Amino acid sequence: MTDHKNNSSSIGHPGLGNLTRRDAMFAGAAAFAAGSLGLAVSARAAAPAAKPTGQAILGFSQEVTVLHPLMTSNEVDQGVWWNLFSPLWLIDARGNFVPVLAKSVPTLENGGISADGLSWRVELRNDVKWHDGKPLTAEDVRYSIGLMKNPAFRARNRTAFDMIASVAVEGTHVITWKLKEPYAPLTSTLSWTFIVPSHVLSQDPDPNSPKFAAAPVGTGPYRFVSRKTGDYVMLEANPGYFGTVPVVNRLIFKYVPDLNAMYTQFKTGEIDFVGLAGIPANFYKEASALRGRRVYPAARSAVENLTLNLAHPALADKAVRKALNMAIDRQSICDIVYYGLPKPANSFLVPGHWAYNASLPKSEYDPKKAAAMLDQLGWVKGADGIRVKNGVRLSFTNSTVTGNQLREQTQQLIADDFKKIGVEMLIKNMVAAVLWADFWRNSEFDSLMTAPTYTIASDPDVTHRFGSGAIPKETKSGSNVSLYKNAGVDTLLARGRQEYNLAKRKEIYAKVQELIMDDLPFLPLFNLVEVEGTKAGLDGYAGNVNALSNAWNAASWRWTA
Amino acid sequence: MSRYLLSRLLQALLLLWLVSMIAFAILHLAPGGPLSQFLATGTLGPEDIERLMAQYGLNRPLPLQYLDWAGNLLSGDWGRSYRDDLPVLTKIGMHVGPTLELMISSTLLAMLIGGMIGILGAVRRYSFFDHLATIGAMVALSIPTFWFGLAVIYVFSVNLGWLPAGGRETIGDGSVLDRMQHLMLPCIVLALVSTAVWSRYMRSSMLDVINQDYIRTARSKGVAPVRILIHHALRNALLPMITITGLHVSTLLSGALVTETVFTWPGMGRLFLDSVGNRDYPVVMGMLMFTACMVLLGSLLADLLYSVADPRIKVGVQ
Repeated sequence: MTDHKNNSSSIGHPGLGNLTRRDAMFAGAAAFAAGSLGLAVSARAAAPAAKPTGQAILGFSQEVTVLHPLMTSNEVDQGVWWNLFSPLWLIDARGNFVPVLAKSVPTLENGGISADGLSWRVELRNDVKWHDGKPLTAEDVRYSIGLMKNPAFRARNRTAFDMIASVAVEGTHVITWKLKEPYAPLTSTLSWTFIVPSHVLSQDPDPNSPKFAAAPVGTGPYRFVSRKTGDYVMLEANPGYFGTVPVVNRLIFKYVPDLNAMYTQFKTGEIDFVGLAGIPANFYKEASALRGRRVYPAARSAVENLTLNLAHPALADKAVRKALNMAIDRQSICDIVYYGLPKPANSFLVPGHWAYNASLPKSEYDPKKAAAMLDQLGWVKGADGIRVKNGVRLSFTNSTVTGNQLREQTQQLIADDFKKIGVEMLIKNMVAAVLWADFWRNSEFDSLMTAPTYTIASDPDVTHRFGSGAIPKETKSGSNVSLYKNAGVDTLLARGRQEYNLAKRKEIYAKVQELIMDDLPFLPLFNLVEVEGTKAGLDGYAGNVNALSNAWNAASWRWTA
Repeated sequence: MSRYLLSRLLQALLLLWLVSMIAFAILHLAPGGPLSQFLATGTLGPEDIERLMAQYGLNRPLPLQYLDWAGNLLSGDWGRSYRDDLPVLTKIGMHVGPTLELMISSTLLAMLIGGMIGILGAVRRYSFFDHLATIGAMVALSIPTFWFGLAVIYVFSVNLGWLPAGGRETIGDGSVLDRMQHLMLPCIVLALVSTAVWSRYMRSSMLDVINQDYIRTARSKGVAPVRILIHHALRNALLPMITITGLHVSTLLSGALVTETVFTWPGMGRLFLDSVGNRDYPVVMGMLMFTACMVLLGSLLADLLYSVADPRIKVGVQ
């Protein structure tokens, strides 16, 4: 069992290298995260834990899809993976990297990463066993990385793995790899890469191994028991877990497709935890007053926003975008539609993210100034009250996924805000399968209302969102659907990807935020908050914006009443 | 008889082929695809979607995709879900049980209550009871299932705490009593509308029969009213009901979209709704073929039952 002190001396990551090894906050955070995952500290020396008992039913409005942790997935899947599998390291709620399967997180300082940033060396714990009793070895890590690069495997996202030139097993528990060029976001990517068993998967000629996906074998605190499609996935405590064995014997990930039904079942006690997509905001007050229940406004890493298409003749003008940004009454949206839960946003990163630029100006609401700006730009109101300039009407459509009532109300409020300054925003909503297809990919929209998480695995590298080479309409890759191009941003992003020092990376991304928020390829609305809840007797819940699901540490939950 | 069955079988195969072609075309021509939903999570880019499309073979010409799908289906391979990689038949198998449990219980309840109301309404035509039954049926048909579901949950689960608010069983219990408790509310909600429908069918069918000459003759011969009702009227009134029941078989298996969603019932209706929403082509096609087979089987069964209920009708005789 890894000692906390050993952990703290080796924790760090390419971006966190300037923290001292004895940094108290860091150690505390690491202990919190390690404890949360059941990687505790002196479990081996402690008295044998009592036999796990009881169960916890976790409700989600999305169904678990694949149980193979390297395939395409949704947020709920990751919640299951955190309990079935283990990554090399994780990112805790404060943004710190904490070793899980690895003995330490490689950095320039601890020698895990070579001075040129190209060679990485990871030493694994030697006390980890798969659920079938076989020991975890470096070969499993090599196999997992190889699988992500295998063209026949339906991998989720290969961007970071394409940067790995070669992988070598240097001993039973030591693995090394070489990168094509320094790539700092790899540490974050690996925090969401759950290691799969080579001895099981290599037996299957099909790299996608449906057999494994149906009955996975992991190293996590829980092992797979059964699945009823359309209903639930059941896990049970793994007595051979290398960390602290969970106290709750069974975890059940239950699918409750309707949010109202999920909240009702939370009220009646049929589910013990309400996870994604949470308790509807309109029930927040009522839920807070329920006896025997606790509710948590859980911050997500997503930013609700209006994504603009910069090819639109009116929206192409930065000054118009600034006027629009100023015309939105964000506070009213937060208060009226979302019952005061979220806070207005002013960046693509959320406050609390280690790279968030706290000195960015707050989004200002001043419709008079916005109108004056448009007047100054020569946008003159026509007979219908909508501004026109050079034959172009200041009118555009806004689209979101149909059925999201709160978003539809927000659209109405914003359309009303814009109307006050002589701008027309027409609502044109569609089903998800249509919106997230060519309409999004080929930038066929004028503007969208969505809530993307701009980071991948919490790394602030947003090349895929704002890089000029990441416009899917032009390059068939990336997610820069606003068609945003800024050479200065491109240069900074390229530097940020190769910079392993946290302080320097932080500076780079602070500047990136300044530039992007000055250009406004999207208009930030608010930082997403979802209301989650547990029964009062269920302890251990810990929100983490660096995980997709707050079931990430369910292994350390326990019943106290 | 065997010639009749063979001809019905050939007709069924032709119909299934047509249904499969039309469904396949409509499904694939609808905007969006099975992978586009993953773009919303931000963990996949369009390049990943392109790669996955190629891996699934979704970028090939549609006729080729259809031929592959049909060929696999004929060899017994119904494909795998794009969502969870499980075989389509396994998914259908897991959902059909809960649906049958819910639909059969609610249909039986509705047939029993609706049948009795219909018979009484016909026998006592224009009585207070008949008017009450007519108004009741109109009200039951007008109540939105979604609202009624939420209302019974609010009363019996939230306020009184008598019955569970959703699910098919308490996970970890699953005893018969527990399953019955979970079944009760969705069964009542579904039965409400069906009871109204069955009562109206039964009433009009009975009215047709009780005005026939042979009923009048039986009455004039002094046969006891109950005997006339059960032995003479009801048996003949049930004939059209057999057709309706036969056509109802497919409904029994396709589930109830709204009720299954409100009550978190893991049945076919919800599977279909989720699969269409996620453009899970293999599952949607599998379910459509399964339902089409059941429709054809149901109508064949109804025809065969006709000859059992009414000896004058001989199946296959022109």
